[in-house]
Formats: sequence, structure tokens, C-alpha cells
Amino acid sequence: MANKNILLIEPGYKNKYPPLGLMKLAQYHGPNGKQDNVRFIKGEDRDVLKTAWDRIYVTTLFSFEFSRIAQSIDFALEVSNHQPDKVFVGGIAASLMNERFVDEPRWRGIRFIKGLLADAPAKSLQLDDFSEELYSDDLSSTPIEDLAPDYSILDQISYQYPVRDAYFAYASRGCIRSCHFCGVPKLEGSQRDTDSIAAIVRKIDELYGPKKDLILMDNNIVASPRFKEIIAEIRDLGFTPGAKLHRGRSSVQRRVDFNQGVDARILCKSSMYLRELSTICLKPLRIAFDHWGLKGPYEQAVRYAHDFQLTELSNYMLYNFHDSPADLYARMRLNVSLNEELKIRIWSFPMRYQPTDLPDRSHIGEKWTRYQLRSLQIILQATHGVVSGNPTFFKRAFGDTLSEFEDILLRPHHYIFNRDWYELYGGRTEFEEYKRKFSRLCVADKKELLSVLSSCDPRNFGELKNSAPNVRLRSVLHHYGQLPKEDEAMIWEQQRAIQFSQLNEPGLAEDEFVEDAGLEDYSAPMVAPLLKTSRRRKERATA
Amino acid sequence: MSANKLLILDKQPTLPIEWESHAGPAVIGKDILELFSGSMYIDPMSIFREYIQNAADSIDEACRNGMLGPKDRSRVEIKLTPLTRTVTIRDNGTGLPHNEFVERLIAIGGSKKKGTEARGFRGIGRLAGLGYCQELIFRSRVKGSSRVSELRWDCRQLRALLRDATFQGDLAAIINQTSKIGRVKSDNFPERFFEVELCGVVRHGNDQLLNSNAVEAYLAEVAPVPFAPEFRFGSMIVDLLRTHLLLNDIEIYINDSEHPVYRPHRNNLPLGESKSDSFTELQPIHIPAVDGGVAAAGWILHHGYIGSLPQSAPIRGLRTRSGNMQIGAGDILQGLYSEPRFNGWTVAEVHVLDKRLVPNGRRDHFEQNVHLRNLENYLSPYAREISSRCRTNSAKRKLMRDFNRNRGLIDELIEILEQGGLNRSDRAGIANKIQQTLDLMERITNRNTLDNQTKLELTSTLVSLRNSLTEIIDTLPTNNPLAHFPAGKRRAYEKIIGLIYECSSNQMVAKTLVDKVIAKLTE
Repeated sequence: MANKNILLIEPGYKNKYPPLGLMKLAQYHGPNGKQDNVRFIKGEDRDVLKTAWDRIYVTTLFSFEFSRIAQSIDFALEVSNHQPDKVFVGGIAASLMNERFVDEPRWRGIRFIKGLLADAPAKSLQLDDFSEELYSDDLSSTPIEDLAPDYSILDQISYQYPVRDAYFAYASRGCIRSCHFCGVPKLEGSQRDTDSIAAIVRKIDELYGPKKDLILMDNNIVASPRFKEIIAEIRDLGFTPGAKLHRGRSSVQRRVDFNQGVDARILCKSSMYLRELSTICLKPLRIAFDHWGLKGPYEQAVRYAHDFQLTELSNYMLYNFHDSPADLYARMRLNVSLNEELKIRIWSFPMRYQPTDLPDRSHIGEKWTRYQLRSLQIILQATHGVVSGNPTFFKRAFGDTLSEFEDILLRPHHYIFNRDWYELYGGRTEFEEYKRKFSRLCVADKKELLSVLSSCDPRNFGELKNSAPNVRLRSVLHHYGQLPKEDEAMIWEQQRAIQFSQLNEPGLAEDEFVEDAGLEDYSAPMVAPLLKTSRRRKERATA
Repeated sequence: MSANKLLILDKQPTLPIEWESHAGPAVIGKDILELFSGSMYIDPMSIFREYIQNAADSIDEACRNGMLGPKDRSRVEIKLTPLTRTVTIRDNGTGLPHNEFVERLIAIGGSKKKGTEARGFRGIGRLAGLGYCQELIFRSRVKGSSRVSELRWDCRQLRALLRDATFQGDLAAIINQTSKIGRVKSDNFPERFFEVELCGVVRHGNDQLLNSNAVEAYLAEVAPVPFAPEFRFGSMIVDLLRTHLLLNDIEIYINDSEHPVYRPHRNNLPLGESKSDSFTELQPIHIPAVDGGVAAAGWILHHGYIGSLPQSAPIRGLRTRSGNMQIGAGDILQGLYSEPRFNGWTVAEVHVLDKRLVPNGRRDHFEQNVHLRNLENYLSPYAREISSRCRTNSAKRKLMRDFNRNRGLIDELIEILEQGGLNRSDRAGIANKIQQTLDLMERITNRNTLDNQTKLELTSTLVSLRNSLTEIIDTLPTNNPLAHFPAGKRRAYEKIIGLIYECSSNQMVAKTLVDKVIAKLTE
């Protein structure tokens, strides 16, 4: 049986990595598998309504993208001609919030797959042979999870994943830890090793040609009892320091990326780990630095890295969990100090915590406020989610002291967003006046200010001055009203002629940015200049 | 927890149960016969479907085993006799030898056709007539036999026993008591035949069972009969389907008519209220089966999609056929359309080929299974395409209406200009209005809804309109019927004529008035 029509849908959100699950399903159904006709779309391409589909798979990623995921599921249902038994939804969000999906009455009959497709296809996909479902007798094929991803489907869409020229593999699944903020224990369970990565790399080579990079998505590779063997296997695959991939006349630098980061609590125990990691072309070395309590292990791990000439570092910094702005600032500051002391480059990626079963990004940690979270988000929008370890850039973006950082977080958002304009150009007088007024606030005033600003929608900030408890606050609140669209447009227009200072040092490749820095859920007016900025960055890259 | 609440667990606990098989015979009561005869066939006309289906199966078998050669006509005669209230349906299929006649006609269910190419397979269809006549007779003879086998059901007695609460007999008992079998030697019957005779047909509604027009219309829609010879797409459809199935049409004659019953399709497509359309394009339908092969094949006849076919049109809707007999009616697949009304604009048929697409007992739909869902799934894009054509054509017609309305407006304005009698300023105002209308027409012409050919035609119309406007404006100064009046008087008349147009809600009525005024002034 072949020639069945299989539709793969990835919701229309922005993401960094291609949908591995769908690529493996494409391998299962495609020319090397069931020989079906596989079509891959991103978002809702209504052209597919012209075809009858025998099966439709929808992948899901971040749970906070629930509304966009829901849109894709509704679309899949429409494409299936309201035959929900043809629709299968899997992936991270579908696993983490499985009940929420299953409980939705309008999706009754759709199969929401929890976890990996690690059993025989018919079992993993919950196919029912009594209903004579397609491939329901396939109880002996290789589990879909273990198949090589089909890269060819990526050519069917116009969306360009920042990371695509890479082998995507796992040397292990699961994790030894069960951190409350993390979805891995729910998704993959406890840690165990997987099959040889060499086999999957060879298979990809054979089917789709060699790839530049090796992206290993292990959750905690250093916890694997086979750690040294895995590193040896990576070396044997040719991913050693300085390795290049030759394509025709050109050659490109290869790199290995453990993109989920490595565990500082294990790295700090022995120099062996970083010695081993230094024998492969690891770039960057990503270490999670989730709270200030990890300072000791983290710092030790960075020092070991330095000892073995691993100088390109990157780290994930969880915030909005049990931490505070001061905790985050201390962690960022430590990186600046380590950069200066060790002459290395650490890029930090603050990752805003959201509970894994929350369908949006509305969570506010107990030591954060809504206003501060928005402020940080706006700063990070300008830096593309990255915190530079370079002291000059860092101080400009986040302040030289904790107090400065806290004051920046408390600034009117249009002052943060159009920072150069207000600090250096046409808005300077107004900004100076604001600073004067702000400097008169006492600690209690600032606390009150933060509280009122976090209590209502930004559209209502203009009204707050009327209910301010004292003159000082009333005069400061005068600056928080939303900038009229025309004024903002005028600022952007005038800014075009100005060469801006950067809040970030250049040099970080697009494929090293984090998957989601939570930068895109802000109100609409903030979107336009962000796009403009990214266009500038792309232009620079091509210049 | 409330005392009245019944607790149902998500999963029942597995308890040790001792299972045993039922030892005694299962009781099959008499009432099941009422279910098969009355309740199953709500529409009286369905008895014709059931008996024609059996006839068609018998004729097919006769063709397969050589009783009917390629040149022989497969024929079914239907005789409706209102005077005696009798319906007779006779075919020239295989007939049944006496032993088989008894065995097959007395059995309930357990058809020997199951697993064969035959259309029927449940062994209950022949009971359809029991509820609609006083006596139901089956007769048959096979070639070489001198005697005709006959089975008579006494339907009056059957009904009485079914209603009789004191009658304790089971299914077999009621059959034995109400039916009898005999053999008769007669030269009045063909040498090989099978027939059903319904005697004392019950008066039912508008007595359609004895109305030859109604029976013909019903069979034209449902039965495996040929397309009308004059229907130009008929042979194309037969050729198109030939790779998948032979339609094996049978000829059905009602009351000795000269022409057999034909399928209801004709070249003209009546849309009611004096509107009609014609077919323009034949599109094949191909439905793959769940596990390879072909599940169904069919066709769509596209037309101008001017509107919906009348509710009663026997070709309306996306219809299904199994063994070339219609299953359900024109609305069976209506649910596939996002707007069900577009099913009413459709003329299409799908012949199911996959044996797992099983018509239900009442033959008004199919058994619900994965194969039916596959059929519906693969038909949906066709339904979408038809809906899209309906919408596009509707939009196109609206654009054409707008274009023509504007063209009419320009014609009126040109006539007013040509009439003369307006001052310079009013003339300029009308010329400006014409220009604006032309611009609007140009925008209509550029709409993507229109095909290139239509766009070309409309553009050409626009060009000629623009040219004639230029011509008229050029000739205006020499064309003023008031030119011979002194300037002051002429200006006053022109002013009044302008006011007539300005104050009138209907330009053409105003023009008629102005024509008369000018005629009086220039007498």
C-alpha cells in the first residue's frame, strides 16, 4: 500500500529548529518508507484543501503558543473534512498539556500523542486495526523516533529555519534531574542512552548528503555513563577542533552544539568533562545558570572551560522563577567579570520562565512584577535576546550597578524602546527632566510606582497620575503615558538618519541564538522597529 | 456524594467472572418478519428497487453463464394494472429451478449471493412487497422445465397473525402458515423467467405504485438503466467508467411502452422558472481505496452554475451508486459541502467499487466504516471545487450585471447628450459622470474573478464606448436643437432643461419629457 496522501503541519510560529518529529514521520511515510505522498506546510496553507489527505500530523512546540497551535489543529480538522480520526497531534506542547488538548470538545476524536513515538508505529500512533486504520498492522517496523529525519520536506516551505544545515541527534534522552521549571521529566522521563549517533549521521549522509554541524539535543549529556564514549564517537565522526566541511571549492567550519546546555553541577566535579569536551569542535559551550545558588559550580565549570581553551561560552539564565531581578543581575554581572578576568566571551540568554502547562506567557514570578518583565523584554528585544559579556555593551544595556538595572526596569517603556533618541538625541531634554523627577523618589515611592505600573494595562498609564498619592509620583507618572502613534512614527522617521549605538556587540551567529527568548508577545507598536533592526542585522551579515 | 448519584468509574475494576455459553436455541420471534417487510421499506416505491435489483442480479448471472448472449436483450417487463390493482415484474434472467426456488424464497436472510458480484446479499429484499399488497406471488421457470414454480404469501393472514397477540408461533411457524408453494403446467409463461406479482396493491398515499409515470421516474433515477440516446454525454460517461466497471444496463419496459426507461439526464438542464442551462464539461472522479486499488469512480457534469437545480430534479446532487443502482438520494453526500446548498447545484455520480463500501439494509446510505470515511474524504475536494465554481460564477455574474448596468447608464447619458438642449456646464457634468462610470467599468474588467476571454470582451466594449463618447462630444456644438433661438432665450431654455434633469429621479422619464418640450419649442 503506497501513495497515500500524508500532510504534515507545523503551526505558523517562529522557531529555530526544523520540526524533527515531522521530519521523522516524513521518513516513515516517504520514498524510503511507505512511499506515500508527503506534503509539509508551515501555518495554514489553504492550497492543501484541494487534496484529500489520508492522514494529517500536527506538531506542537511551546505550550504558550497554544492559540496558534489551536489554529493549526482547527485547520487540520477542516482539511481532514472533519474526520478527526485522521488527525494526529504530537510534540512538546501536546505532551506537556495533553489533558488540555484532549479535554477540548471540538477536537474530540483527534489523537494527541504524549511523549515520543518510541514504540512500533501502529502502537505509538494508537492505530486501531479493528477500525481498519491505515498502517494499523505495522507492529514491527522501526519506531518512528529512531528514523533519520527527512530533510527534503524542508524544501517544500519558504520558511527558513535559522539552524538547518546540521545533523540533529540525541545520544541520550531524559534527564537525571527533575527541576520543577523543566518539561523534560514529563516529556522524556528518566535518563537513558540512545542508539549510536554515528548510525544516524551515516544515514543522513547517505540520504541527504553531509551536514555542516552536529546538534545534539541531549538534556544532560554529562550525566550519561557513556559520556566519554559519546565524545569519542563525535571525534570519530570528524567533529574535532578546527574541522571543516568541504563542499566543492568552499569549506565551512563545523561545530558541535549541545543545544540544551550542559550541567554545571556535574562539570564542576572533575576537569575530565571539559577536557573531553575540548577535544571536539564544540561551539558554543552552553552551560545553564538557572539561579545564583549555582554560582560555585557554574564559576568552576567556566574556569575549567578556560583551562581547556574553550573560550566561546553561552549560557541559559532562567528568570521569573524563584529568582529576583537582583539575582538575574548578579548572574549577568558575574559573566562580565569572568569575561574580563579570563578574556573569554560568554553570551547569556535570559529565559523567562513559564509553567509548562500554561497556554500563554502570563506567569509572573513571585519576585518579579509585570512592569519589570515587560521592561526586560524590551531591553532584550534590542539585543535579540542576548546579554553580552562585554562590559561596555553590558553596562549600556543593563546598567553598571544593580540600582541602575532596577531604575532601567522602572523607566517608561518608550524611553527604553527608543533609548538612543531619549538618551542622546531629540528626546534628551524630556528624558533629563524625567531623570530629575525620578531622582527625587524615595525607596517607598519607587515601590509604589512599580506597583501601580504593574496593576493596569499600559494603555491606561496616562490616567495613573490622577490617582498618584504624592506630588513626586504624580510628576513622574506624567512621563508614563503611552506615546501617541504619530509621535512614535516621527521618532522612528528621524532616527533613520542617525547611526545608532548598539546595545550588543556584533559577532554572534544566527544559529547560536536561543530557540525562544520570549521577545515577540509584546504589543503591536513594538513590532515594527524590531523587524527593522533585524533587517539591518541581516544586511550587515550579507555586506 | 449525593445518595442519588450513580458512580461510574473511569475504568471498571477487573473482577473474576465465570463465563458460560448460552446452551439453548436462540428464539427468533414472528415480529422480525414485520421488521423486514414493513419497517425496512418505508418508501413504497422501494419495492420496485428491490425487485429490479433481484432481476438485474439474475440477468447478470444469465449473461455470465451464457444464457443471455451478447446480442440478447436483458429485459424486465413491468405491468401495472390499476383495474385489478396488480403489479407484475418479470425478467429474463436465469430463473430458479424448483428445488432452489423453494429453498431460496422461503429462507430469511443468509443470501447465497453474499461474496458474489451480485447487488443483493442479505436475502430479505424480496419481502419488501409483503407490506404493500394482499397477496405476494413469486413465479419462476428454468429452461427445459415444463412447470412453473409458484410461491404465494397471504399478506392479509400474515398481517392478522402479526397483530394477533395470542399467536405464539415463531418466525418459521408464521412463514409456514402464511405461505404455500406449488407447481403449475402452463404455456402462458416464457420458457425461462422470474416474476413477482403483487395482487391487491394497497392504496397508499397518492397511489404511486400503480402510476406508470411515477414508477418510470423512480426507476430512471434508481435502476441500472441506460442513458437516453439523445444525451450527448451518455456515451462519454460510459467510456469514462469502462476502465473501472461495466454499467450492465438492463432494459425496463413499463406497460408495453415502446421505449425502455432511460436515466433522467438530458442535454438541457432545467433550473425552474423558465431558466435552463446546459452541460459544458465532464470531469472524472477517482477515489483510491484505503489499502490500494480503486474504491470508487464517477463523474461530474459541470455547467454554467447559474443556480440550484429544483429540489425535485432527479439528477440534482452528488449521488452514489452501487452495482449501478442508486444508494440514498441526491442529498446523501450533502454534508461534504461547506455550504450544503451547493450540493443542489451539482450533477455528479459516484459508483462505489470497493466491496467494503456496503449499502445498508434500507439502501439509503452505506454502513459506517473506514471505507465510507475514505470515500467522503476523497470526495470532499471535488465538493470544494464545485462550491468554488458556484461562488466564482456567482461573483462573475454579479460583475457582469454591474458592468451591463453601468453600460446601460452610459447609453442613457449618451442619449441625453445626443438630445442636445443642455448648457455647457450640464454637458460637462454628464460627460464627467460618463467618465466616472467608464472608470468603474474598467475596474470591474480588471477583477481577477473574470477569465481572460471575458476580460478581453469587456475591454473591447469599453474601448468602443470611449470612442463613441469622443465622437458625440466632438459633434455636440453642431447638434443643438435650440441653436436657432436668440442667445438669451436659448440660455433660459437650456437652464430649464437642465433643471428638469436635475429634479427628476428617473433620467429616461425626464428625457421623454424634454424630447416633447424640445419638439414643441422647435415646431
